[in-house]
Amino acid sequence: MSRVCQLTGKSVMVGNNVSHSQRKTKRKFYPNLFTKKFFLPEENEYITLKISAAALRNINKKGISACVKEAREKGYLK
Amino acid sequence: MEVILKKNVDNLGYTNDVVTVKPGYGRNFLIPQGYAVLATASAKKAHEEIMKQKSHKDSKILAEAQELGTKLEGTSVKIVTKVGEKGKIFGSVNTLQLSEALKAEGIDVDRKSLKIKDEPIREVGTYEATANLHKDVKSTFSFEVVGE
Repeated sequence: MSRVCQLTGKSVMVGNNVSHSQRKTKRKFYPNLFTKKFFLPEENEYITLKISAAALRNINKKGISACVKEAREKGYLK
Repeated sequence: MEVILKKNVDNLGYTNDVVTVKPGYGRNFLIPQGYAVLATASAKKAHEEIMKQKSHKDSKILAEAQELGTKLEGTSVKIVTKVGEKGKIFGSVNTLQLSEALKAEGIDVDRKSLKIKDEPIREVGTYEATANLHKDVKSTFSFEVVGE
């Protein structure tokens, strides 16, 4: 699956473009994703993840290993 | 982000300091290189416990560092090197030579803690160096570089 955050599970949302005349056309809201390499101190190796900006903030607070563990429990990451 | 330092880092702090750094600096450099660990709540608690146990040892280490510092300031070290005409040195004098010269005087100082003010030294003369012996102990002393 693409366009899904591997840590928070954030994915594409569907909504409407609404014009002044209230005519609605479908559009998508994309998560703010980027791929980034992280160092796991416990395993002494790097992992590459596709994550959202919000997940990066989580990593800065809790640490990468805690975030990865949480994501595994929730099933976002294998 | 807050990190606990595991090694001394220049211009940042000393081992066991809790410092605030930019997230990228911590994430991409300090933690992968083993200079620091993330200061999570549990890590902080463990760190406090370690510091408590260490505190009584610290005073002894500090006293030793201060003694070494005064000893350093009292000594006059001479470094003998090969020089060409006009007092220009072949190669240069750096902290390696300085630490060896200090060892010859009976003072054992880690080379990494030494900083020479006008490095690299390429001419004979008197120079100043600083030894970073302890968190709170810095000793500045002068040494002479002379030709053979």
